[in-house]
Amino acid sequence: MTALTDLKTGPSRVEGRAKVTGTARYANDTMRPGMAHLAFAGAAIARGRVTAIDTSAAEAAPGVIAVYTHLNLPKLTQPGGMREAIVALQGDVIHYADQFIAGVVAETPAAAEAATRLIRAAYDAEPPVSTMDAAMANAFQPEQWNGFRTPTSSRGDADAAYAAAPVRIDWTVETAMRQHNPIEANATMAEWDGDRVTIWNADQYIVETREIAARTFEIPEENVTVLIDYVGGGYGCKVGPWPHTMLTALIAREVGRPVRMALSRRQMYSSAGYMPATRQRLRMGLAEDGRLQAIVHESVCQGPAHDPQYCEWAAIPSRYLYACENVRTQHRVAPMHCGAPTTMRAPHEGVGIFALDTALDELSYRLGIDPVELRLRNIAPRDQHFDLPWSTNAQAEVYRTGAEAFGWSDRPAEVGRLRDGDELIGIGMASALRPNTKTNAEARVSIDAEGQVTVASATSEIGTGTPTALSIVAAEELGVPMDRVTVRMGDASLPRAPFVAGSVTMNSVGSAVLLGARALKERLAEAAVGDEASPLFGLDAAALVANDGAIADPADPTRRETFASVAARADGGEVSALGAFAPEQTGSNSRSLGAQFVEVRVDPLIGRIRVSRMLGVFAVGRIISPKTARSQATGGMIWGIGEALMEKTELDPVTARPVNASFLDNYVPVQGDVPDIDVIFVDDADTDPNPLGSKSIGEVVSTGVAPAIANAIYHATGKRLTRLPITSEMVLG
Amino acid sequence: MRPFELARPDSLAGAMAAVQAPGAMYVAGGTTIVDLVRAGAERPSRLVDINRIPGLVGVARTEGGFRIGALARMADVAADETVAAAMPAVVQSLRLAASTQIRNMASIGGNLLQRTRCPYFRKPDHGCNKRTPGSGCAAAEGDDKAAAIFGASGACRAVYPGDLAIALIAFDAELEIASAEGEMRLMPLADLHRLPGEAPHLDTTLAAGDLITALRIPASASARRSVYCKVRDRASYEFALVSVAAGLDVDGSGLIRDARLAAGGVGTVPWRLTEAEQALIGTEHGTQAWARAADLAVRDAVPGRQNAYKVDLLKRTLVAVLRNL
Amino acid sequence: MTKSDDPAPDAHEGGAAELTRRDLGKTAMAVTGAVALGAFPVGAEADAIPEILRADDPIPLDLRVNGARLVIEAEPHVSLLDALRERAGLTGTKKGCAQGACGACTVQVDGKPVLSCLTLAALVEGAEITTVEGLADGEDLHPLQRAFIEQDAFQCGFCTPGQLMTGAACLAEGAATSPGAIREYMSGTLCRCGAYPNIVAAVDTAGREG
Repeated sequence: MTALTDLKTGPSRVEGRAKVTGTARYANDTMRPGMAHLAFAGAAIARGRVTAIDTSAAEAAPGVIAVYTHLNLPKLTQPGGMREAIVALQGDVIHYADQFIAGVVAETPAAAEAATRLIRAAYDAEPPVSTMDAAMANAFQPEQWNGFRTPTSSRGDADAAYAAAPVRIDWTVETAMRQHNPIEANATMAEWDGDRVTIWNADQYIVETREIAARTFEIPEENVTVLIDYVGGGYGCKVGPWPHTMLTALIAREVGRPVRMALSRRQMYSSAGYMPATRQRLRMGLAEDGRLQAIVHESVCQGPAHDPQYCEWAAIPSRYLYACENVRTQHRVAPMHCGAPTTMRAPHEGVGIFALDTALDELSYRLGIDPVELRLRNIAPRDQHFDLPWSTNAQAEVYRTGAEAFGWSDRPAEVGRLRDGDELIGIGMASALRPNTKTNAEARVSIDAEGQVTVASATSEIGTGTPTALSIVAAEELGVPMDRVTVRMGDASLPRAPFVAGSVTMNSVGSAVLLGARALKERLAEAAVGDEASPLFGLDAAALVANDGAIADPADPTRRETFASVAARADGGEVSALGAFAPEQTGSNSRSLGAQFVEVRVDPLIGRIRVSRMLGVFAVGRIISPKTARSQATGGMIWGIGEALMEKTELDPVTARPVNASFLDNYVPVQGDVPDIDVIFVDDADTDPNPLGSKSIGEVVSTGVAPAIANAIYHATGKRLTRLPITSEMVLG
Repeated sequence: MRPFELARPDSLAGAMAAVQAPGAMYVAGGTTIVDLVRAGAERPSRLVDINRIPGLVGVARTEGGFRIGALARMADVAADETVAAAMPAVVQSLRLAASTQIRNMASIGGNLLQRTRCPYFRKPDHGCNKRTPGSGCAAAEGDDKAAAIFGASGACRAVYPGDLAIALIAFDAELEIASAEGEMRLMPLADLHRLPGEAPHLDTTLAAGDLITALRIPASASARRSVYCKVRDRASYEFALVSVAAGLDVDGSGLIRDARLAAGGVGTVPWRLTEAEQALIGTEHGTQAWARAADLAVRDAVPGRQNAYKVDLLKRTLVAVLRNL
Repeated sequence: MTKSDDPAPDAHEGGAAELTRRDLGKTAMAVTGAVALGAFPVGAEADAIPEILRADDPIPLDLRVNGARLVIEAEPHVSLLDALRERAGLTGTKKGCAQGACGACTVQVDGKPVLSCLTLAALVEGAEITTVEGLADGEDLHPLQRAFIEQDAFQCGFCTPGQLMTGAACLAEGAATSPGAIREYMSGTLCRCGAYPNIVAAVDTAGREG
């Protein structure tokens, strides 16, 4: 077990100095000679057509260079693959409120933004579908996604087993439409030089942005440079290109100047994705001893009528969190007139576990079985959905470790027993779950004559600590100090990396760096034994050991040469190797697991809810970078507080426009909402899924928080709340 | 942001001259006006910077209480220990009102003139009679969770958003106002805010050019024993679902000699709970009196479709406040 | 299908609100309980009509930023944030919401943390403005910057300049008396990555060590 205190030591972020001195450059900090600024005007209706548009006042406004609409902007090749299926400004049809109807280019950002307000449009409007209630009638089954996300599943006979079960629960929950709300709005800067374009993009998937830009503008990929030093938070809303990225590049080409664009905060609620609302019905059948006999989990999520490519796969955790022979799941999408959703930190399982773990909590009281004990009785012994063993399975350990560390045994079993003055105190827990994800990735590892190591991969830094963790991997494998390692990323022409999302990066890019460092050592050894100038000349390369920045003959320690010395004699004074990680089917499956423990304080007179204590226990493989891993965990748990207690995007029921499209009315957690948070990573090193032994961290840490809070509120107040977010008025008592 | 002219007078007379232009408005901290101009909800032709006018700052102890310059910042008053001792509810209302940064910027005078936080007000593509007379009220059929339960009209149900004014009307604060004609006058704060009626675009009774120059708050036994309580879904920096300012003067035998009650988050203007105050006076400080006051406080409430919870929440907040006084 | 000619955002031109407000104002005195306090000179007798800066004309602004004089050209409506970022190239200060709700744009004006997105640049001529670029003493980091690195008080780093400028003021004012006081002081500066506990730890340790 790695205790909390150990996690606070270890290397600090390698980019720390840049971030605390304001020198770290984000997309919207890009300055280019002669650049102009782009701002988009949005539609006032959510469904219909633009019948006329008057841009004359905007064109005459001070500082305005040009105004583009669907009437004067060239038609783009639309190769698909962007986060949104339709591209605005390419036609007159309006699919959602605030969809771009014009782009204004001006000398300053303020002038461009001011002129967007002078655009006048007339519309043929139709009444939009703006609520889940109205959309349910047209709910449809989505397509399969990424192979393993299937819309339905069935094992055993769940309906019959449910009907026959001695203990049954029929449970309905609702989760809210929520925004990623990064503090940095999505932003793009584009500059053309002939038929070559450079795009600076706030981007979690620069490789894809480069590919799609090449196809959109019908130029070779080599002609497209995509760069980004730092991304100001993404959480899913910056994964590859949205149409605004390509529109910015298109308009830069038209206007003949470098053009910079940042979405307004309001546009972040319509044109950069969101997590759709879900309604889930969960039926569970149990034996008297609490063992699950049947799960039927049906989920409907909100989706845009025009763009059915995304589904919130909320029923998926029912397939693999707990042991159960009879499971049936189903997903549907209810079409509304809203912007395109996209994956958001802790998707799918994140909202699905809210149904599963509030229902289990309710059953724990009905059955008189302690909530931790109830989960211990339902440990999944293997992956029953894919019928494979787990590579490691610390499920029981996370519950037991958390219960002990949180003082669970002192918790009274009955509700409403703990009180402090006017406040009721409640303690609750829930499981945390996400798949352990991995995908193809490449990284080049090089060393020069000064012994300076460079790691290069086309990933991007979004705050998860990637450069730090990759430095640690390279430094450990090569036996050099961390300060000799430089990580290059944020350039799509570097060795190919996957999206920085879905918690894949360490497993994938980290493994590629490990493999690259191993390959580099082999290459150095081969170079040394083949070179008369080396003390290792003539030895068998395979018999040498490479440690502490040098290659040595284990039989004769005097025969030794440093990596730097070998590199000094190589072509160009540098030796490099490419590490390529490709996941293999190993005969086992793995998952990232955890348990959340929460204490809440509720003043039932005025409905005040405070989270007063939190503990997350996670089994997430080998911890590579303790400091940043711990920060991922605490940050993820805070993300869960927002989901549980405040985050909800409201669509106006009449116009389908987001009503609270700003930080002024769309609340996210602030300092005062956050208690002290403890994190424990249990020992779960596992090299079966990838050679690094790491597992996905960034999202599992958020799952389970919302049900743990809801369960704690029930323990405090006896109020069973199944609709998120839980707000003051719901706990008045 | 829509461009505007700027004048930076260094005297009251200069301000009065500069503000004569149609569409001219004053700016002090800018926290409301800059935000609303950028949102397109305010469209001044000219801003008149009043920060250079001498004599409008400072917190001074007077014979009857305090006189606070209108350009004193929220943070200046919130940090004043003499005010905190004499009228805790006032200081608490400031500390709970906004972020540290906003409190450093926003002037006391400007704070009283905050415009509503109804979500439709800020969005020029929604109908809003307060922003654009005659354009309708999107909250009537839209989202009215935050709407007022007191003082609404068919034309507008937008809540007055401030905290400080709630505490101040409970304790009979007054305003010093300079007029464009060169006259100074003293007016009860209770007369400042206007019910929406058929003209919700008029938030206040101020005439064109009127400038609040100072605030007077009388000291009293009930102000000394006072509290401001704000109920919201987030721990900090959120506007109130419901807030209550309360002050009591209780004699040695537990009888209430004087009671002051006002509520925020519930009215189209700062809402004094006069009947509830009267009901408390002369009664014993205890649960029975609190319950009766709470019932009276909401007797005239007219909730909309989604904000009925505020009726119950106001009663509860009132009891919660009184139980701690 | 209904026909709509809804204007695009903010197409309601005209000063109807202002005009009506002025008209009503003339009668306001009659209905309020105001009492006269005296008079002050206005109009011709005051001779004090200030210069009117035109809406679309850039004017030279003489600012003091990070201890140095900075003269830029900007129109009256230009925010301090845009002046710093777009006119002076000081991009360390970040634009998060441009609505005064996130705190990412926090700078110090005369030592006090304020929101540069809601501050008009023309209103802070003569004031001492400090941005994140001016926090360190040359190569020597401010104790809070060192504490941020040590305590891992940031993830993506985008809110960090605002957190630092708020936190440094919290320390300078002596307001960092407890974790609770730090949380309250810093609650207007959002961090979506959720670095909050580490930010409190950084301010707390910098306060005790500095």
